[in-house]
Amino acid sequence: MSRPAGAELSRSRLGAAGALLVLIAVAGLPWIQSAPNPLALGSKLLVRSSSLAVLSGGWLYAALLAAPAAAALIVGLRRAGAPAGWWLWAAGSTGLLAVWLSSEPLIAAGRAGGTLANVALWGSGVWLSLFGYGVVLYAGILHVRRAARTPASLPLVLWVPVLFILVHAGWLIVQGEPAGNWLLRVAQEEAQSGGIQQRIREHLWLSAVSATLSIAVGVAIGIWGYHRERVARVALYVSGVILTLPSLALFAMLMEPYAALANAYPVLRGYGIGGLGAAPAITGLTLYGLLPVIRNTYAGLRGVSAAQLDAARGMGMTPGQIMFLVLLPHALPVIMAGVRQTAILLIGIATLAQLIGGGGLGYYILMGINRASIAHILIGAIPAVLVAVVVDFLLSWLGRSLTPKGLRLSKGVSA
Amino acid sequence: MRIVRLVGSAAAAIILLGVFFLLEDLHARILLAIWPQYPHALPFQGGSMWQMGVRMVQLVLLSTLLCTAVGIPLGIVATRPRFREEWAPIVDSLVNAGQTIPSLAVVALALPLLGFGFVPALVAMVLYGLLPVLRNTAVALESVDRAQLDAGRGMGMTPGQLLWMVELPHSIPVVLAGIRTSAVLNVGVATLAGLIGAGGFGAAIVHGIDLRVPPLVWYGAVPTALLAVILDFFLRRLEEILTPKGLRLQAHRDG
Amino acid sequence: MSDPIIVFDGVTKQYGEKRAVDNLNLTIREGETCVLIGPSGCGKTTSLRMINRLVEPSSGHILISGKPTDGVPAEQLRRQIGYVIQGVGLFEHMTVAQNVGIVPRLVGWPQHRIDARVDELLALVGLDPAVNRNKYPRQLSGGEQQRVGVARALAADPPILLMDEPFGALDPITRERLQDELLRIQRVVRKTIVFVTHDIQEALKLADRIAIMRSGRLIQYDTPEAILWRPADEFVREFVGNDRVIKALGLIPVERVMEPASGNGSGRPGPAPTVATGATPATVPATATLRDALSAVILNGLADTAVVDGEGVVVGWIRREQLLATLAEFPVREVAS
Repeated sequence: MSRPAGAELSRSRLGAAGALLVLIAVAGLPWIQSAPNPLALGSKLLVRSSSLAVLSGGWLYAALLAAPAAAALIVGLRRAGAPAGWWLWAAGSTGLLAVWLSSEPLIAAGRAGGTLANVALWGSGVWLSLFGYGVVLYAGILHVRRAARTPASLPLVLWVPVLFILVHAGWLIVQGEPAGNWLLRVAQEEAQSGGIQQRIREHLWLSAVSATLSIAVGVAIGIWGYHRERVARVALYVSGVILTLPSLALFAMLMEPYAALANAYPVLRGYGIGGLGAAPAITGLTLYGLLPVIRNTYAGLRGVSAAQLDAARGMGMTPGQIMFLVLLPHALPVIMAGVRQTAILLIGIATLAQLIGGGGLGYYILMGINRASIAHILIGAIPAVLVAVVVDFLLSWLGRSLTPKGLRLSKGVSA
Repeated sequence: MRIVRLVGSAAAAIILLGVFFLLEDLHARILLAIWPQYPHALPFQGGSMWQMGVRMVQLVLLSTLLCTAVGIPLGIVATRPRFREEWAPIVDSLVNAGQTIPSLAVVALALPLLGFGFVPALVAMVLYGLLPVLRNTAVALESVDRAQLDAGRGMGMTPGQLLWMVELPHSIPVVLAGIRTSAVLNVGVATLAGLIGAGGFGAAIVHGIDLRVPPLVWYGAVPTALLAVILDFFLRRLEEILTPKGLRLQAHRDG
Repeated sequence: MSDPIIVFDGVTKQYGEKRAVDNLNLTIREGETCVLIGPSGCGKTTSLRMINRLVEPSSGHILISGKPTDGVPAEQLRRQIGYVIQGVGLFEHMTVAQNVGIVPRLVGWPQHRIDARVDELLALVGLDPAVNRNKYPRQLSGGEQQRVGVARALAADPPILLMDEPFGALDPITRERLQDELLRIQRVVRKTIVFVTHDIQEALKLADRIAIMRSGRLIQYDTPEAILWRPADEFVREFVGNDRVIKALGLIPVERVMEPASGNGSGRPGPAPTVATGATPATVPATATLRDALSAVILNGLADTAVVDGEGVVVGWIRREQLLATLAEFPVREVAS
């Protein structure tokens, strides 16, 4: 961004937009959807959608939930700078917490107030107002951070409301009583039976093993390609083509070789190598993860200046010494960026492993498809996203700390 | 001249795929020769290769067009001075977060929300494929040389003229790369869409896995892979053809 | 005269049809600064890089201290030769101290010895060790980086130093300062320096002997005076420039022509200077060359000019007669070749 640090932003259209979304949601969108049983949710006939007003018997509740949004709207359109930021942050936080905490009682009301309604879900209204308040919160954080004189540690504190919701959800899941919230109830079941832990473990294992293989092979090929131009070209081309292959197709095609292998050497089945299972999944994932690593290793090595290489040769370093003392340290930040890309990519694709019997969080997503259950799909998807975010954060921290200090400085800076 | 090359490449891609899809019998024979123990695996009840192929092409083509139509304007808006400071970070965060959402999840969520069939799959594909287009458009516009913008403004260009005559032409290569990424990703999503009844090769693949019938699996997987590779190839040619010549020279000089 | 330390014996480097270096025969003596100079493509850099075998000769040998350079593994050879290049090539991910200490580390010195040597060298090249040891290359200016480059080349105390246009990428002021520093350092360490440049002024200033090359061949190999006074052919004459006599004045220290002042530091001023009224007479620093002196004498209207030391005390006089007599000798010198 070209704005000088400390300059404040003008009116927050973003905050106003978020607030508007909430108001729309509260005013008329379906809040809770209920049905006699989970499968009936697919049928338009059997589902009863209730808007917020109907659910709570009057506009009071709606007004209360919408109040922070109204405040945000006014602030967003009129004021600017840090004070506006704080108002937006406060409005967004209260709104988020209000919607979240009110969802349970409203679901109960939804059940009580109608005919057979054994399953109740959040309707689009809840989703939209959560999103809207999230946007308001985000706008507030943006404004606060841009204003002058904000300490560097502040940003983390600002995300507390979101963290609170996550922690609260986690708490509800692990406590003894069945949670009222539809999503958490399913999560709870799975957590208590140990299912979700197992799937997360499987998912992490698949991703970690294949990522490690990708990195080991990819860096080696990248170094090789650095010394031989043709190898680099072929490797980049081939791994690029692999990446265009649809994941399901690749996984499916890998099954057969492993099945044939296991049939020829039945002893391999004891190690879990067979047509179905982790082996084709890990192979496929490893193949996918190659391109970012190879490309970044190659580019990182090539990016070392010719002067440094000439000086290194001229002072009598062996090729091996040049690689380890000069080339690799220099290329490390770029290689780490490639490693991050690979890790995120693989965590995402690993969800498909279940389709070929490999396990992982895809298990819940597929179950969700079979049962038409949003809860199951989300229990598969949300942890996958969270894992990816955490891994990304850890790897970028690792990348930064592994970068030699001399390279982190930009040119011409005196310390 | 360029139009001719464009049409030529498109024709080549279409003919190649069309021929492949039509040679159903040949494929069946080859596959059954490799796996003689599954004589009844083919033909597939769910549809002929031609039907599935056409459905896939429909899904990918339509979703890519929609992604482009929505993603590019959004990217342009997000980088305009009026909106940049606020919307750019949120677009950035959304895109980064969105990349971590598994494609299977997006397809799966379409089912309870929108139901079975072509349209829900299309919606999922548009949402998923939006991200690369949006991100690349924003990045490309942001990275236009400030000196050129300054010169343009200095000679009296309006913001609209700047956009049309300087910023957009500069962004063509990167934006096209984004569209290509989106399209190729969407071939994968379209395959998965077979799980929610959208047709296409996914159904054959999954059926084959469920029933442990390898020829069926390959019957579905090979055309899918081929479609992705040919599409990628064709779109790369498109990029080359459409990139303004001056930019191409730059790339060679630095490359 | 000291011993020959680097000998080029019939060295040729061929790239396809083209001979980058054509049958080069050259002897460089210990402790000498030999400058290789010539137009672009003359083979000077290639010749330099053949000494430490970054380029391998197509034919002929190079002997260092009597032994052929291809007798030992290349890396071992290079660790005994200092190498400074135009792009400096400091390792950006290492501190200044780590950069300077790299060759000793490769060769296996104990750490305390390396540390001491690093401090010693940083001081030698004019950088305060305490301030600069832990800085990173990106935090240094171009001139400072090149000083570290020189320190790095000297770290393992090699007898030979190769320098490939080391000051070429610096601004003129920094360049001049570093040239002076190099002369000063050379007085202390007395290395054999092989220096490549395309700048004749730099060559005249730094060299004990200059090797002028053209299209891969050695045209003339002589002291700076000899090159200026007795250019071997038309090419050299053109290369050194039409003002070669003026350049030659730049090689004569002012002390050789001045009349030393008597004990009390004043001496006889001589005829009154015909300078513009009100202007202070120009003086000449004792460290200057005759060229600078001529400039001051002209400013003074060709009157006698004082030579002063660092504190401004008069240490001698340039007498107009003595100056004219010296200049009158030049054509004689030329003819006497």
